[in-house]
Amino acid sequence: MRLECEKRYRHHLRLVMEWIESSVKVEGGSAAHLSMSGLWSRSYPETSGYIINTLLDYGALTSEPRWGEVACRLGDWLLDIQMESGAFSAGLHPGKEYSPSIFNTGQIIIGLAGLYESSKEEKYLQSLGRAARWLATAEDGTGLWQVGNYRGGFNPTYYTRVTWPMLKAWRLTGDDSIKESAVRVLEQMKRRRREDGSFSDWGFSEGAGAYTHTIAYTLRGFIESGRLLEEEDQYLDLVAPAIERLYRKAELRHGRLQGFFEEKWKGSNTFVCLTGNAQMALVFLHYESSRSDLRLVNAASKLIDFVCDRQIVSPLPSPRFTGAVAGSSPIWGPYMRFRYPNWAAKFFADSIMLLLFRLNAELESYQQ
Amino acid sequence: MKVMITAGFARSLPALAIAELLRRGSFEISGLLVVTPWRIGRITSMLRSIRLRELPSLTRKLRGGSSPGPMSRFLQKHNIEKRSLGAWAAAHGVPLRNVSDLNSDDAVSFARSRQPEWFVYAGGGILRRPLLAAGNWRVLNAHLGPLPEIRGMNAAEWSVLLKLQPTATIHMIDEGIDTGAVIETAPIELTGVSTVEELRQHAVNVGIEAIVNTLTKLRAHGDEQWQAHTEVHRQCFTLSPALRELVEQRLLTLSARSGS
Repeated sequence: MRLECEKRYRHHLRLVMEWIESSVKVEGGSAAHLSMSGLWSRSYPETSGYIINTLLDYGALTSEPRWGEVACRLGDWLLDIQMESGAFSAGLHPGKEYSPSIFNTGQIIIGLAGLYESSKEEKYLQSLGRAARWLATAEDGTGLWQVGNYRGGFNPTYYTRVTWPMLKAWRLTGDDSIKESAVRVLEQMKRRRREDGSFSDWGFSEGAGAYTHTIAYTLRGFIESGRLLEEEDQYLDLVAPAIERLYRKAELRHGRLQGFFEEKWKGSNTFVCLTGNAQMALVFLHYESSRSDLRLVNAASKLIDFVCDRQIVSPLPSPRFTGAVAGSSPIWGPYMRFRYPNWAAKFFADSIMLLLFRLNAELESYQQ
Repeated sequence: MKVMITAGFARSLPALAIAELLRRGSFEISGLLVVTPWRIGRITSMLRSIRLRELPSLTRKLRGGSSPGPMSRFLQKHNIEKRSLGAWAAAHGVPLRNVSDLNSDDAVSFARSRQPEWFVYAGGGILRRPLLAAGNWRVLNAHLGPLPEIRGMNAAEWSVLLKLQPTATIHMIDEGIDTGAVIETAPIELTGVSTVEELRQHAVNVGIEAIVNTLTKLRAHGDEQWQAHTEVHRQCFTLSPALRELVEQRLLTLSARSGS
């Protein structure tokens, strides 16, 4: 027994995966984005890191070895550019200068952990251990970082997406100092929840609103950190009010979730952040995997369908765009304006794979 | 007993069936409030919620045409020949008011002037306080899922998906979404139902009969103090194409198991 929609989703998935593959350079990582004029940017270490897991998952889904090979190429490139300290640098590569980045280091750990778990190659474990120890050492003992931030001393709440890879590294290396540091950060971030379920400072700038992209980063970070700490219920309760709010908004707008939220959930109706849409679908699906409710799967599939309808599926104007997902819809929206980022593609692919997994699990349950 | 009925469009067959069955049961239909679907806001909202391939069937529905399914059989079974509320109202001398919105001043003043003892909600959008007050807060709805578990849209389908007994629940409408007190329930049997469309139409038929039976009981036994439920479950919304497919598969499985 199969669902008809699986064929449609797999078609979108194939296109986006081939687009991701084409973003990977022979000598380096995955290009951060494709411009509307058809030019690839330089490689982006941060997103090259977490794209590894998408490639591994797709390889497992299709049983095609080529995806694992691309994942290893990305991983080996990242090992080559790791800094002496264990950190990974901010920005694109090659750059004019290299400064360590808290967030990017975290995201790369996610990929290295995926490679280690699938290959058991020691070099990945060593690398992710060094990276995580750098994060723990740089943390100032109060749950904040004074160096390596995107904007000065500002520690955004989406650093929960750094505590997740730190805790993953703790699980793999057994180094408790990494866990202790991650827990201090989580305690800082937990205190930022407002009465209405939103979190302060979950965007790119202090005191400002947030794209759904970083809202989803924050929520997913809490969920995964809670799982690794084996305190899942506490963390699911923490994010539940925000998820309820976003669920209703996603449903009432038929998957066209507002791309940006100010305080008090005041959403901008002018654009959809497509990567945020896909990420929020992932948040719903991961939350739902612990607190089963198909209503959340319904909302997730609408969010994904919205992105499917906006993915470039035609080989025109150039095959280079086929499979790409823009940062915003419309493309002149403020998030990654006029660009097709590789992380929009990554989260879109992840969301389709997880949705298919969930739908098929449900279908199988009907046979029992 | 005077009853007023709402409808979401002039060719709403469920509203027509309720009106006719109540009339035959010697209820006085004090008025029909019919919302015109051809408003920009409503069309935009519909277009946002549906996909292009669903447009032809939606247009057919609004025009009153329907495939020969459970609803047509229901009308035949009850010898209901009329197919539009306008023709039915004219034949029985029932005042009918076309309104742009059930919560408009026009709708509220019509409701007040007709002084119904009960209102039956048979479509037309969410009811707000002024109309509920005009109906003296005695507004009944046939919700096609068990309450409080399944609130919101596509309730019959959600009952199947969430593995709950499909049920028509007659409840009072308050300002929440399906949060008012439950008065009666009627099970929706799935025998012979193997598609979403059949499920929906069959559920509507059970709902129509349940609402007529409930009003008949209320007329015979009078009001009670019904308690609103305090449990609030996550609201249901329209099914996405993927989840709709899941319902189809679940119905097929159940149908195969029951040998029908």
